Amino acid sequence: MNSNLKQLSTAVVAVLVFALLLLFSSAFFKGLRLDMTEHKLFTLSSGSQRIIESIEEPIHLYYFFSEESSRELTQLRTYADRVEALLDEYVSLSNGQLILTQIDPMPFSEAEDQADGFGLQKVPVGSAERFCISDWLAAMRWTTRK
Amino acid sequence: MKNITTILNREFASYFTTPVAYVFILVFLVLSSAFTFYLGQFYERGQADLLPFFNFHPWLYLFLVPAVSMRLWSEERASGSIELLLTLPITLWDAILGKFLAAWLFTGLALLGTFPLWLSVNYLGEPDNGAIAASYVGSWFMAGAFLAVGCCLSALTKSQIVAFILTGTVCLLLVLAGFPLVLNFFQDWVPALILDLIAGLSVIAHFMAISKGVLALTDVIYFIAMIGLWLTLTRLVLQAKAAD
Repeated sequence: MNSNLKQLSTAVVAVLVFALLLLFSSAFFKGLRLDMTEHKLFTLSSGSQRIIESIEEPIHLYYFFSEESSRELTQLRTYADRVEALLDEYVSLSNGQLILTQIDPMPFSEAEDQADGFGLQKVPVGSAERFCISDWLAAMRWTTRK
Repeated sequence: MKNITTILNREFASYFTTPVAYVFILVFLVLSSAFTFYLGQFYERGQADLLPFFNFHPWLYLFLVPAVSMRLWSEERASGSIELLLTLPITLWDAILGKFLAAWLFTGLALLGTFPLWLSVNYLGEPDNGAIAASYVGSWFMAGAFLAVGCCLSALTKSQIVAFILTGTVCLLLVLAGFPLVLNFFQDWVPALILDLIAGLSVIAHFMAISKGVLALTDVIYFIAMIGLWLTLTRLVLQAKAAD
């Protein structure tokens, strides 16, 4: 009986450790990655680095991503994680000159109006028509207006 | 460590004394090439990469990996040789790791056998060999995760068929975890954190992330944690069954 209890608790602990690792590894080890592509497709080039380091006045970046409507789109969510990681990399290189604001445009909210104001378009996802993701190129373009 | 390598060597050699190895490698090579060229439209795409090849790996592994893993423990249990194995002067971990690593190396060998595809894509164009290397690593990790699942479920039962079907089903759930099919089922009554956890279990999402050519620590941690979890459960199952 005693050994059964011990085994059961070991199993529970193992599953818990696994779940915690999964949940928090993406937050802790966000930027730690090895870009194995030949032309370093997923790494900032020295040119972009120089540009970002030489920004003189604050630039606001607005990144729109709809948590709610992307719930079931796992691949899009992993893509969003990468976009976020890239934006974070920009911000960390910019000596505080790049200011990133993340916005979740819920339907019928001010944030949605704001997204409309930037000219972002709703993308139909599944059954409902909702805001999805602003591609990071689009996100960059809108910021220059500010 | 020495015990692990002894078991590893013995297990690895046993694949090649039976037809298992030859059938597995042949079927894997034939199917993966057929999928690449016909379903994946390797030529029609006109792009020098191996994406159509790697995209089918999760589905191929779904029924090929359980075929390798099903005999790991249930054969020992059915023939009774498990009693001999577990009374040898080795720890349970030695036996589990030895068997698992042998199976994992074996699938790695089958994977290496696909190198003619890599040669031909290099002959036809200029692919990104870094991304291809990353995809191979990701594919091998994925095979390892499936094998670990199979290892645990094979320890549960004497019947290899049962082990095969159970492993296939669990792996299918792991593959589908990120798809609406599974997520819709949980969506309405589970908090967002748990839903993210379920989506995060998706083997495909992690594999696709690696196969783009970026080896992120989170994806590597996912696969290692997956292997660790299922091997720990294997140990618990073996202990519980030994007590019977």
